[in-house]
Amino acid sequence: MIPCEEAMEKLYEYLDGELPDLEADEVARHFEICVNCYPQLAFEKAFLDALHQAREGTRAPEPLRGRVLELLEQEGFTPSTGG
Amino acid sequence: MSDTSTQGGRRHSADFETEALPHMDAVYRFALRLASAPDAAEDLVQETYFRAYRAWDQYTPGTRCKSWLFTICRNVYLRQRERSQRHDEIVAREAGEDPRAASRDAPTWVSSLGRDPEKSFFDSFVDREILEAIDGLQEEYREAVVLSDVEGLPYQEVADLLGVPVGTVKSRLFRGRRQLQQKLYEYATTMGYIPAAGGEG
Repeated sequence: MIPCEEAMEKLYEYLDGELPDLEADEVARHFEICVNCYPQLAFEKAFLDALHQAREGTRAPEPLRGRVLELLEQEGFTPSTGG
Repeated sequence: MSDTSTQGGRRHSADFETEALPHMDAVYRFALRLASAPDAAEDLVQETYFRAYRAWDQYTPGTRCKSWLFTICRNVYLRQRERSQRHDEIVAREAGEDPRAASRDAPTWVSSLGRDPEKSFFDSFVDREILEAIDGLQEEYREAVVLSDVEGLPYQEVADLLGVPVGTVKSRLFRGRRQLQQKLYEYATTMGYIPAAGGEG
């Protein structure tokens, strides 16, 4: 098993899906077994999930969409009729 | 006059409609985090799409359209800011910093959160509070956190977009995330969501 220090060093890259498969497996195995490191994994994962979820409620306002389309149409853009 | 026949224009429009327009929510979110004020963000989005449409010939279909739009959005923002003389001092100082220099461990206050810190702590926030905390980050950290953590871009795309090496992205992400965790913790203690650390006796 890789040491705690190495697992912690790779924690963000692991959670971000940036590690090659083999390394990711090693890190995953460490966190499955290590009682000291697991809480940190859980904390960081919850943190990143919260950040990602924070985007859900934010949408471009409808009037803005209209203005963008108008602007584009002046430039020759022809939207499909949407049918 | 080159390839601007009606048919060419129609294809141009169709591609733009299927590839670029669906990212408007993401571009708006990114613009909001860059500019903070909704009005300014809307202006940024309009300008971004205007420029993107004009430069659509330079875009290779099927490649990272969202990143391409973010790049345009960021360039427009930086140029506007330069023009308005609001130098927020974009710091390049961390370029040579080693992300490993800082401790990889979670912040020390995490242990004060109790047995199930991740749930009780992050569940206490509403999205707006998290986004406001992101807005309070220094710009170079804010950009990295928004692009990677909120919008889910891979490191390499964030690096290309910001024009920095991947190592710098990792370093900015690490520091940005730690700053953000600290801000959320301070906010949570101020709001009474959690007791302040160190008060145990």
